Amino acid sequence: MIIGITFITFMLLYLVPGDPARMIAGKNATPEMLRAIRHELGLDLPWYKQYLNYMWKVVHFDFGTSYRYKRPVIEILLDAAPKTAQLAIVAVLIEAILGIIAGVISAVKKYSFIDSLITVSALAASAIPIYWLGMLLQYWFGLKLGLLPISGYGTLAHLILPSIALATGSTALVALMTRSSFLEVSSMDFVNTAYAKGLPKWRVIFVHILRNAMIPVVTVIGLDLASLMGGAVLTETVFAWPGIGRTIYQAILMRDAPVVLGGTLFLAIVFVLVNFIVDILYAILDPRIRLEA
Amino acid sequence: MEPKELEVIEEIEKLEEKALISPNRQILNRFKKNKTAVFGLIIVVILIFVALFAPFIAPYKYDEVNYSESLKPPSSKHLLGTDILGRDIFSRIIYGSRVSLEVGIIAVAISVIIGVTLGLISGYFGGWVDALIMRLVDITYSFPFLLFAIAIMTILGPGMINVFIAIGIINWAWFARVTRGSVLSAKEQEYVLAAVAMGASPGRIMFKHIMPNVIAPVIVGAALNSGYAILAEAALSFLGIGVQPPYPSWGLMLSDARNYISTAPWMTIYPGLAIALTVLGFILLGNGLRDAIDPRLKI
Repeated sequence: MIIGITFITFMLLYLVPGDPARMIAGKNATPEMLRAIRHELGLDLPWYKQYLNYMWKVVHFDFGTSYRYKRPVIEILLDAAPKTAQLAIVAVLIEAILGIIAGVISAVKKYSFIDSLITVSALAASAIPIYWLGMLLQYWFGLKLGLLPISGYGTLAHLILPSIALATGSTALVALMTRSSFLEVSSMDFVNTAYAKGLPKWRVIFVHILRNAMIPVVTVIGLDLASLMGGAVLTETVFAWPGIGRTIYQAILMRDAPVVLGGTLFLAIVFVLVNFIVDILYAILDPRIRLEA
Repeated sequence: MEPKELEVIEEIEKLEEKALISPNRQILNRFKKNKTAVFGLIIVVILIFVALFAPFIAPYKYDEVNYSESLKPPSSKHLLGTDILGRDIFSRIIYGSRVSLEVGIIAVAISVIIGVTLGLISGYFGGWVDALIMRLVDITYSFPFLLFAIAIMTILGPGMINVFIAIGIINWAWFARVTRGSVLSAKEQEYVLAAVAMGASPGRIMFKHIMPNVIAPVIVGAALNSGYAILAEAALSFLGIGVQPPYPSWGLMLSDARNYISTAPWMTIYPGLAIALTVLGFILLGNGLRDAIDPRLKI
């Protein structure tokens, strides 16, 4: 999978208009100088050899050098990564906790008013542009009420609005998934058995049903990290949060292709790795799934 | 879909078979009963209407600059206020519907053409062709959508046509997977085996006999995907690599609004509302179509 992703990124980098050698050498470069630089960068090799070189570099976390900052891309990304991680972790916590609670309430109170309310607001939330929500939060909580800082990085208070904006769409998805998975499990025989044994309702809900209903929900949370990664670009842009997303945005504005592509590749690799961990989590949640399967 | 709802649907189906209503009629009946689906359809119809007749509905031109009217709040003269250049927000939203509709149609059409073709080939021929195409699908899926779009736009450069291409060539994987699934189950049907036995060519079997099975899930998917394509276009334009000024994309209008959240909140509120409503319309329409055509369809 990672090979596929690096291949795509390489092809994109290969196809970027503009000649990196000319950018490095400057305007007054002679043809000889350009040729020497191309040779040094390996740009005169056939594309598959270039790809192997690129792979070799990626394996060693070398994503090239920023046109603008003249710094290795990986350094820029590693500076920003912890900040994006903070945002993403808080967002995943919000989406997991709120999403599962809302989904369970919705499923237990099936066809009630609160169920329709949760389902409809979840659908609406998945249609809302994340950056628009962010701007509205800035307006209400930051400007109108003056409760929270509207942008920037620093205190815990700075973290609240961006992580809410980032988590909303995913929370909706998790709630819907929890609801349908919970209802599917509730109609199974062992649930009836549990009730028949006279177990209290809360015990059946939390121990018997919820544990079995969690498997598809964990999958959704894992796969949804993809939209969280994309959402980070938008959220960090709106809230001036100095993470990888904002780095990518600023690189877009400055036409700094190695940073844009390096950043997207970096986030994509993180996404694949996290999903690998999610696969391992299955084995813990469901003993029937073993790693060799 | 819950067991209880399925039971109800099955009962309705039995009644319908008794009454000998045509399948298309049944679908229509089921769709009409679904209030949220009809709501979605109404939103989509309004969008199409507004996009087609934008010049007649909008009180101003989308690029009509008027510095004396800069950052005016909503009033009878400017229904939804004006932006920094004194351009009418309401008119710009009306014209912006064209961008959204075009993305919804063109980008999704690109995805459908690529996806359905590859899905048909993949499911029909199987073997290494299938393995290769499915690998491609997996890779496309594993790349976060918006990041992929950003990466492609960096290569292609900003512009409306490039947005269509970028969104179109990312979204195809979904259609390929669904098409392949339908083909695999259709391939085992007796009428297809009969066609093979009669010596029909692969092309004829694929397009004449198998294709009709694919149409229903593709229509449902196209409606849902239009919503997400519109959302993606708005996001790209917001980041400055999508539709370029002065043409009014809703995402671009939100990008312009960023510096005026406190002074001119109407610049933020209304374009975002337009995006959210439109996307919601397509999602509700897609969900409604799915439930009406085949509630067991897993999409």
